[in-house]
Amino acid sequence: MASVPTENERINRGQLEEDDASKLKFGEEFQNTQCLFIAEVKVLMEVQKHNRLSENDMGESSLSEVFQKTMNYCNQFGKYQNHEAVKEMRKIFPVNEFKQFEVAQLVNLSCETAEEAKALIPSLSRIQDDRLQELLEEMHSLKVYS
Amino acid sequence: MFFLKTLTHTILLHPQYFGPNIQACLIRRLHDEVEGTCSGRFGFIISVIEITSISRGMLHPTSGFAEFKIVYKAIVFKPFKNQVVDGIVTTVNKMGFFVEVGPVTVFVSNHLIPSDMKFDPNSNPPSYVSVDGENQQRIVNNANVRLKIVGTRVDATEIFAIGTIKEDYLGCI
Repeated sequence: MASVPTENERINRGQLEEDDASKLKFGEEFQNTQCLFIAEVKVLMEVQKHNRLSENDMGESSLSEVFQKTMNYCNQFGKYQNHEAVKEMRKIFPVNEFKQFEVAQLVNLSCETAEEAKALIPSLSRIQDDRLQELLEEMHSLKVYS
Repeated sequence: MFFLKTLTHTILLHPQYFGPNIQACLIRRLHDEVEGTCSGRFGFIISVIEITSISRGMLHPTSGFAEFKIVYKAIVFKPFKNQVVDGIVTTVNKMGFFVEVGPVTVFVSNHLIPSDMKFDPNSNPPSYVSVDGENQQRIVNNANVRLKIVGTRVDATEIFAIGTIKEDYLGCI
């Protein structure tokens, strides 16, 4: 009976490893790439938009469709409007405990409870509930006061 | 997920642009050529943020064109399997509904909608409604939903994804 090939065997045979966010696999191109919060994307894009519009006088039509769609999306979901709060967010979650992807997901989805966070981001299951809850509360206190 | 990624791009420049403004010309060409493009490898390149370096031009002996390699940083967006995302509903029909997550369109089939949510053909615009009493959920155009991506398909110029809301903590937000 043929056994199911293990992951390493499959890679050796030259088959592509499938990306899977729940196992923190993003393919070779994105494995260690800096993840951005939606709020950060919004800040960066506003600067770009301002530069482009001052360069030529064609107005908003000079921006690509992808750019405008993304801008709308970020305006809708980029909570934590102020720059300072976004910077503080980065500091809450220690780099040695959390992967970048997990931090970005926690902030983007603004999870409220540890249980919710673990359901939405399965790779977090290695972290203690109490610890996670504590950090999430810290994150939400920033949201309230910003 | 949005990423800040360092990428390279090669530009072939016509000799008519050789001159004092060559740098500005190259940067403009870079913006025009890469922004808004999509590939399976990098996802959508949304916006160039910073130019890291521009190589010296190499002349092509036969054509006279010069080749420049530009290293730049850009915001890219790529959806991953099993990632949970928020999105805006654009169309609803009896097969399911479409959600825009940034530049990507995600389809949620009616098999992946919880069984207590029913398509309501009489509503205008069409919607999905959960029937259980007090906490009524309605999925309609422009509603915000949270979904999980179950698969992606990469086209030459676009990425399509299939999503589900049939799990805990997913659905209307």
